[in-house]
Amino acid sequence: MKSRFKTLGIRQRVLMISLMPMVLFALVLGGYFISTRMDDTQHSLLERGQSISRLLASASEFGLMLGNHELLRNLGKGMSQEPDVADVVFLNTQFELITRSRAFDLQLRPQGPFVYQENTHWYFAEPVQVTGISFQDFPEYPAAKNRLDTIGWVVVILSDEQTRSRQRSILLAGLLLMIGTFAITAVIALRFGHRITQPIQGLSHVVERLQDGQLDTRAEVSLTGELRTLARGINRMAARIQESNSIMETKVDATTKRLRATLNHLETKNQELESARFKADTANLAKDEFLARMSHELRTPMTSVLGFARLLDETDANEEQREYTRIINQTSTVLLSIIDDILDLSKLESNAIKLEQIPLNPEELLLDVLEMQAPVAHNKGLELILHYAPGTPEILQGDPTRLRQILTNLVANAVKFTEKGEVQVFVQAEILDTKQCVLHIRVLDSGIGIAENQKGKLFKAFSQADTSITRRFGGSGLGLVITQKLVSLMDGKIKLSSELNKGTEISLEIPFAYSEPVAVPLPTAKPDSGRILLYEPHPATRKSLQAILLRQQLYADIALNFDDFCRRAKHYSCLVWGDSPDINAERFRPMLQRLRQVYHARLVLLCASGTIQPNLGDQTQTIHKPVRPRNLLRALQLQTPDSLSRTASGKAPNSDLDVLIAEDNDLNRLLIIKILSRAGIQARQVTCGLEVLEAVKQKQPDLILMDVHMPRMDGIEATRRLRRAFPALPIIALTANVVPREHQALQNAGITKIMFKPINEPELLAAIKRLCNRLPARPAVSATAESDRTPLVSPNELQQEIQRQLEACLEGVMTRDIAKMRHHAHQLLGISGLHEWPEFEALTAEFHRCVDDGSPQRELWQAFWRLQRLGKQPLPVPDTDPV
Amino acid sequence: MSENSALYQLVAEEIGRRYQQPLQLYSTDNTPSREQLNQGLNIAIGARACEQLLQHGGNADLICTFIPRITFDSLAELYSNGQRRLSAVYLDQPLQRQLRLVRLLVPEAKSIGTMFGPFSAASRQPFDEAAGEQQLTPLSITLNESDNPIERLKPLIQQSDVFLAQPDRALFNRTTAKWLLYITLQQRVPVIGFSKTYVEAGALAAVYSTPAQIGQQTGELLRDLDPSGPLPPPAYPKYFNVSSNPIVARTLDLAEPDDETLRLRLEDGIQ
Repeated sequence: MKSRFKTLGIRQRVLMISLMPMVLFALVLGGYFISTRMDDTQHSLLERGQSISRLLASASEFGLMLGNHELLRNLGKGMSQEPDVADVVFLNTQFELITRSRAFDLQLRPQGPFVYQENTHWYFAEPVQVTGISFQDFPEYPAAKNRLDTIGWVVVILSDEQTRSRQRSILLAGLLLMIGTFAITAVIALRFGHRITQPIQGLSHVVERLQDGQLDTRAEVSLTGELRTLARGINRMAARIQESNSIMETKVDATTKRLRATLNHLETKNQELESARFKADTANLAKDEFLARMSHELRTPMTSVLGFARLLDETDANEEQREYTRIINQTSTVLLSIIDDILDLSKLESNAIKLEQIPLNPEELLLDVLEMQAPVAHNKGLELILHYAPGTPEILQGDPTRLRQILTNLVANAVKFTEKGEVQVFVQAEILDTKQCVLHIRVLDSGIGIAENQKGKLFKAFSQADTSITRRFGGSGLGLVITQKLVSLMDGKIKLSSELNKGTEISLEIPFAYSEPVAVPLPTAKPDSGRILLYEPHPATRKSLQAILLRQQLYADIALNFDDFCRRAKHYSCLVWGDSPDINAERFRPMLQRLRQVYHARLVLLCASGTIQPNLGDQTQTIHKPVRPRNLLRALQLQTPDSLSRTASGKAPNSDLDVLIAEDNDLNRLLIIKILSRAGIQARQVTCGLEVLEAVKQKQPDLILMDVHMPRMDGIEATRRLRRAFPALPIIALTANVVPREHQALQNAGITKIMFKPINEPELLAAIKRLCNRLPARPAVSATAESDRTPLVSPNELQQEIQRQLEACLEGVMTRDIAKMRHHAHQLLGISGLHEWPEFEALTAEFHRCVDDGSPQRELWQAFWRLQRLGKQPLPVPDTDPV
Repeated sequence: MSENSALYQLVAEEIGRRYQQPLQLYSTDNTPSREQLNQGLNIAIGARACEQLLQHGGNADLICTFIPRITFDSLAELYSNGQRRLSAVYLDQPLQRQLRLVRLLVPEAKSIGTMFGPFSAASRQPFDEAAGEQQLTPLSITLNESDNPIERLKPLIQQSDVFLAQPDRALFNRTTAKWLLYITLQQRVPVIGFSKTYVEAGALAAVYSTPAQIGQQTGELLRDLDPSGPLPPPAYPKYFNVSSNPIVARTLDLAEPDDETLRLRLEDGIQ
């Protein structure tokens, strides 16, 4: 109810407030007056009845006293004329009827009460009592007593009909009056309420409209009093809101405009950025192309330089000239390595390198690397020491080429920056489980070290710690960068710690999968000499040697110095003498003679690489440092049968390999066939991708050498199709293109290995050997083999082929047959790459580009003429070998 | 004194003033001893005092004053032993005086009506004599206590020219007094009353004595009393007053009487 009242509108409230008290008032007052008036009528009836009865009682005293019925009847008749009076009854003292004026049923009550109502009649019974007057002056006359006090009864009967009708009319009038008053009040309240509520409702409507956003709505100001003030206030407020709204809108508009302008600006910027990025990408691409081409361009002449230097070395040159050729050789090699570095970096940066997962022997690999660096190190008088911790798995799964590259870089750097002392390599494996291990390799040198502030630069491309270093030590400065990238490619970590002028330590942690080493059979025989005495002046080398011997369960006694060595030598059957790299022959010879004076048994000399000891007799064996355990054991006549047999099997001829060559260029195909046949490998040949598929269907080869650009179906597509049926078939791609995009496409197609033209014979053979898991029968690289090396294709044949291709190109150019031109340009490109003719190769490449790009006819003609002019010249004298 | 009220004291004072001798006053509430009462003369003022003194007996002389004649007669008859000397001064007027007043007021009246009750029946004879003296035909009825006096009175009054109201212990009460007046007025018959109060209530006139007049007469009696001689006989009042109601007179178409003149004429008549 309360809540309902709360939800009432102002109109209802005003009505209620004005009407409720009025209604209440009217009800209470009206009710009171009506009831009072009705009571009054009732009362007056009663009073009238009583007074009439009293009057009659006294009036009838005489009649009753005399028993004068006539008198009484008259009295009664007279009284009956009175309104309301229904009857007048006179009774005697026994309540017996004396006389009455009307005739209807009487309901007398002699026992009282004497005023009562019976049906529609009120009865008023009054005793008639005698009254008297005083008549004596003194109380001396004894008065006779009144014998009868009550001499009869008068009953006046009043009809209450009139009273009732009067009451009814009072009630009716009262109610009518109330209703009338109420109606009038309601009308007045409605009118006045309306006057109050209408403006308020109007105002609230205005406020609602304002809330709805119709801000131009205004309230009427024709109101009065507070409502007028309110209306004005609302109007003012609305005006202010409208004003501020419009200001806001203006502001929003302005801000939106600004925002739009900013967005436009941003868009422009974005477009600029986009174009800048496009430019940068293009530039980067151009850089890649440039690098690739440049390296290609550089490598070609470098091959010539190296070849000629070697030829020059073989002529009858004097010492000075030999020295020069040596320098030429050395610098060219450095240059080549720099180019290779650049190429590698470029590949790494474009993620074109895919790691191999093949078995590798880490110890052999490390020793290879050290042996490669040994000459340089030993020339500088540096010891190169390998500390190979026992328990390292013999065979790991990984990419030996890249691991070798990493280690070579690190060791070469260490050697490069160390003037004296030693370079040590520590190897230890952390076995994680039965399949995984982490190889920890530390390369520690005693070189110049690296300043703290330079360390950060080391792993950045094209920067060395100090520019002066470049001048002093040479190098591209890319070594460490490439190393780092390769290591991270192998999921490894590289860490560098260094102290200026004390040395540098580089640690590698590379995870490898490994297979459980095949139980290495222990040496069948203990050294027959029994005991070994070891003299090695360099402590680290000594430790390393001891470790090697210990691994073979050989125990060596240590001589403290040379005198001690000579003195104790006679008690041993076998001596191992480590030679310092810086010791020279003049100093060495007397020492040896001194030793030999007291000792005649087996002596194993460990000497620096490059030192060629004269024949020192049967009992003296020479082993070059770094020491390979196998060599040392052999020297101690402890060669394991396993290694012996392995050597033997390596020599066994193998001719059952089936290699399929896919090459559209006839000369190239011929060249490859010759290389393979020289290695004793039989080969089948096809000229396009479709033929490859056909040939493979006939018989699955052991390996495919696949040219990339071939007519009808290129090598990439052929590889992709082959991979579906033969996922494990090794396919080597041969390409002259070094652009990473093509490499990516090849790798995506599932190529096993990419090799570049010109073909490097040993590399190719090594790859075939590795991929086929069989050692191909290869004649020992001996003097006979060298002499065998005649040009694979005669210059004449080559000249003819070039002419044929050029003519076909001319036809193509004349008829504007793009396909023909492209085909023959490609053929020419293959021939030029095959035969170390850089000028011709460059011009062919240009022509090929012109054809490929669809250059204008004029440009095409110019390129072709230049090519034709060069093609008519005689072939350059070919190199000994296209390496 | 019948009671120690101002009325009786007025009588006593007037007695004392006229007698000029000291009086011992007692009321019926504090009656003195018999010895005291037997010494000297006893005066009883009022009927009750008279009755009490008579009941006490004793031999002392007793003069009852302020007492109706009928009452005294009946008391004297009841208590008299013959040895005691009794006298009285009546309160009521002699019949002759009342009838003379009737004659004075209604000279043309021929008959006079009155009623007697059981106590006053003895007075019928004197009434008839006295009426005859005044040439008035006496009309009277004697009523029993069981009679309705009004019923009986009505025919009597209708026959009478004048009605004489006389007190009777059994009959005349306040109602009778009222309805007597009512009927007589209805019948236009003048009523001669016996007290001033009744005149005021509606009777035409009355002859009456005041307490002082009674006391005066009693005091004079005592003064003139010879102690050795016998007591004077009981006497009607010597001094009296006349009172009339002029309104009633006018109603009855009678001459408006003058009270003093009437008194004097009555005195004269007696003489």
